[in-house]
Amino acid sequence: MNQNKNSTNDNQLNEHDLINGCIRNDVHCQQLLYEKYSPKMMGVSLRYCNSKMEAEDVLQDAFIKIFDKIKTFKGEGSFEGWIRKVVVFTALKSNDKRVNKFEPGDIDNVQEPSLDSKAVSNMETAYLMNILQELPVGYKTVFNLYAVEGYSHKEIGKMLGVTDVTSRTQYSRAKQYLLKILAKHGIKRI
Amino acid sequence: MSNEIENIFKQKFENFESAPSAGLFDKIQAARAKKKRIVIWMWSSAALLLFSLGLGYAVLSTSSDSKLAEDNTIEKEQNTELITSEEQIFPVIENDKLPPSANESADPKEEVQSSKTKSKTTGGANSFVSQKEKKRQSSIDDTVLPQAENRTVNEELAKLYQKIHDANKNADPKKAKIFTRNGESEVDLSAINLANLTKRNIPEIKTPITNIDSTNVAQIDRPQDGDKADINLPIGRLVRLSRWSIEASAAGGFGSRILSGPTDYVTMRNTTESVKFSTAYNLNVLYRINTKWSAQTGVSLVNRRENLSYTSADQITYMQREETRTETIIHPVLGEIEREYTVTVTDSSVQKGNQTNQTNTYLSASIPLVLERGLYEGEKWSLMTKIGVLAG
Repeated sequence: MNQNKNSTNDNQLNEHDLINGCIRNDVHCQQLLYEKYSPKMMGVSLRYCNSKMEAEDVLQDAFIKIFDKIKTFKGEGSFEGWIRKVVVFTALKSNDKRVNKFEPGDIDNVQEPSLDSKAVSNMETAYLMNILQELPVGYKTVFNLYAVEGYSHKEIGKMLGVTDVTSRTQYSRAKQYLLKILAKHGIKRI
Repeated sequence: MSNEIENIFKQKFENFESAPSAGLFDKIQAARAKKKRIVIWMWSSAALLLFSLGLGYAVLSTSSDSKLAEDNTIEKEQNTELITSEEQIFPVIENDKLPPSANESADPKEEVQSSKTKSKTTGGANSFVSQKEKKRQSSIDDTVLPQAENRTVNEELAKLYQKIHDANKNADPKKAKIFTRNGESEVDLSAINLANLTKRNIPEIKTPITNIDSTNVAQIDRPQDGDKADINLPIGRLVRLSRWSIEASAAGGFGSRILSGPTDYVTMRNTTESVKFSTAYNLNVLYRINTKWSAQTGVSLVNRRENLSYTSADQITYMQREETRTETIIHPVLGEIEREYTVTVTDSSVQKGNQTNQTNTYLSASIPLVLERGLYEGEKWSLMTKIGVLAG
């Protein structure tokens, strides 16, 4: 029964075993965990960064934190959610270092956006990623946190050290800015 | 409608995956190892000495003792048995019947032996002394006790020695009397090469003398253990050693070290480094406390070398370029149309890591504080143990 356990069932190690292995500082388990989650977390990291290199730096820092702090994961909520949270927070911290959070955009006169959603849906995700990366860091951050991660403005305000009203305003501007970029790429407003 | 954009992005990105570069995991591991507090203990010098070559020399005391040392050369050995300074009592060989072959030998060692032996006698045996010795001794009045400068002569002891000498005047040469602070005994003089005697190979005295007229010596005070001489200096040695000496030594060998710290870091160091021939140099001042113990301090230089061999990580270079693509979109007005757009494409190239072989040298200086104890002292070899600390 057990003879093939180690040789063939690396991928079948359940999450609990992986976590315990990482707590023991087992490099093999750390690698398996990394292989399991790194593509998805790279996707998360890319949304907050301007380039792949930056995203990899964030991912590296995030996994260092994950391996160092994995024993603090109490099993409340999903493990993937915990990892994602670490990646997001690492990205926020990284952005915090690099630039001002909120750049004033020349979007004051942008109208209430409406969008050719079908055209956007047909776009490749990689292409959309490029568009998203064109957003100023502050807008990109708020947009990601609210639209993709699903945080409330109150939570975002807490994370970024601003009021929820500021978060709301920034999100609104971010969305308008995004539409402007989309328009630049040929997606017209309806 | 305004929520559509959120929905689209959420749907597109929620499960979006992108493979990070190969080798990122290794970077993470390396960064973690670096980040952790690293505690390394290195004991390089302690394990360095597998083979050692020692050079040492004793330094004569430059104080008034040097005068004393001079007095104890063979030229004036005649008086040695009378010298019982406050500092030292020298063991004395007494024998007036050496084999004629030894007396006439041209061998310097034999000369030493014969002259030394002669010196304990009172006249009548000058034929045993070399010409040189005769010349020197001719200026010495054998009948007068020496008036050594800055020293007191224990006349009582001198008398004692004289009596012992008289009592053994006709003794067998193979039963020469040797006097030490522990008493007097007989030894087989012919079996001892006096010239080669050192403080480490004084013959062991086992047989107490029996043919002394004890009535003659009973009233005379004998040297006691409490006397200041606590080192049995060699009979055959021509100079008196100071308790102080300077010792220079050099050693070569393979030094290893023990690392402690994060497992990955230690593994990395152990797999990339290997020992190389290393050297150590010591210059110590040594103070001999007694026959077995001595204390040392000085300077110790350790030149530890190790070979570093590793392959550096692959270098990944990213280059961004603009690429024009065409796609078909459904335009609300124009219907299905082809549209050109430009995307930024990131290319990566991998440069394989280089193999590196180099020698690292670690030079450390320290001050040793060492206590040394002799365990075995043979004629040619000795065994000792040291305990102490290296500060530096």
